[in-house]
Amino acid sequence: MCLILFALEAHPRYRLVLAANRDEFYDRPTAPASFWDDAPQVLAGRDLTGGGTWCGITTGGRIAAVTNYRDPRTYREGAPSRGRLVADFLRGEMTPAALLERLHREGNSYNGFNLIFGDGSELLYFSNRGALPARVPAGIHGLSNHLLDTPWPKVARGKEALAKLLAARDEPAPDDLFAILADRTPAPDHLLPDTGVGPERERLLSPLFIATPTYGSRSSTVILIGRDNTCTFVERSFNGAADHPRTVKFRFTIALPVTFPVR
Amino acid sequence: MTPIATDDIRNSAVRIIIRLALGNYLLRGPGGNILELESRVAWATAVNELQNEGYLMVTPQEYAAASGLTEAEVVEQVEDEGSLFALFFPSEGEQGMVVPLEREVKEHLGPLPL
Repeated sequence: MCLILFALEAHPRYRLVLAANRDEFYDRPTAPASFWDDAPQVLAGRDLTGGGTWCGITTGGRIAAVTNYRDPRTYREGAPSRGRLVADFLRGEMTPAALLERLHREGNSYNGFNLIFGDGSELLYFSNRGALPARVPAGIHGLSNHLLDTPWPKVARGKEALAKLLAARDEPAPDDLFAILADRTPAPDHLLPDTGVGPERERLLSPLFIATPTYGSRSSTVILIGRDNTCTFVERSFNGAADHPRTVKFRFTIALPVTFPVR
Repeated sequence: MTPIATDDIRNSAVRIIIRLALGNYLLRGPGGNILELESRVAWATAVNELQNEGYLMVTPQEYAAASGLTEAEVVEQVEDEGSLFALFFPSEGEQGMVVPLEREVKEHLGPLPL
């Protein structure tokens, strides 16, 4: 994922509202979201190159999503797949706190990443690029290719739009969230971050929804977890200008009660 | 005396709080260097776990004695400069703050069991 906007315990009807865009090269093979044949409790898309995923949830309420930390100066070829972190957590039984300890010990073997993960009792955040690990507090949050809530223009714009939507709607619809994620407005030059890719690429990567000839937002995902433990998962996938968007939708009841603590 | 990197010990302390479900915590101070816990039990447990990770946690008074500073100067490093990490809980009539004096090398212990 390259942009995750989420509201934790910030809406009367929903414990979690998450809207995220996955940015990737269009030619990277990808399977759309579904329940996995080899782990039927896991609902997620699948990166067919690395074998992992960028965002998913299980019928038991485990949830995880990853973004890359953009820093081409420290990128290493052959580092382990960051998408595997999400897939392994979703498939496994490791507690979030145990994964946090593991990431503390092993996180530096990966290229830069941010991981949001939880099991319904808490939602944790870890980055291997220097951020303080955290139990994510209630509120509106945004994560792109820097650290949690770094106010990049797309993060600030997305958080503001999400906050306005949730304040205005008793029942936010997935289409409302997709509309936020579809925003192609580039950031003004003076607000562009400097991640080492040059100003032209920074500009191309600055909207919430990225569209370049070879690289861009491949999918938008919306996850709503209600206070009644129903989960609505909708994924809209794109493949550049070549295809029309495809949408898959799932709705199920999470087996274990979701009780993210309010701080 | 080699100062303890605030980022490192703060990171360790937060992981301990999460791992052991020690409740809510608050980061304050000029450098986010004061980690405040909500109860004495949580605070004492975090102190103990930090000691297990090799940090020697002492009171500002003990830190002052070991470093040749006054206690007021140590508290100033915590409260005003933000250059010294502190684990804190609000209390009346008892010492609710410890700071790291040094870190003992415990590489032979390997990773802590979960």
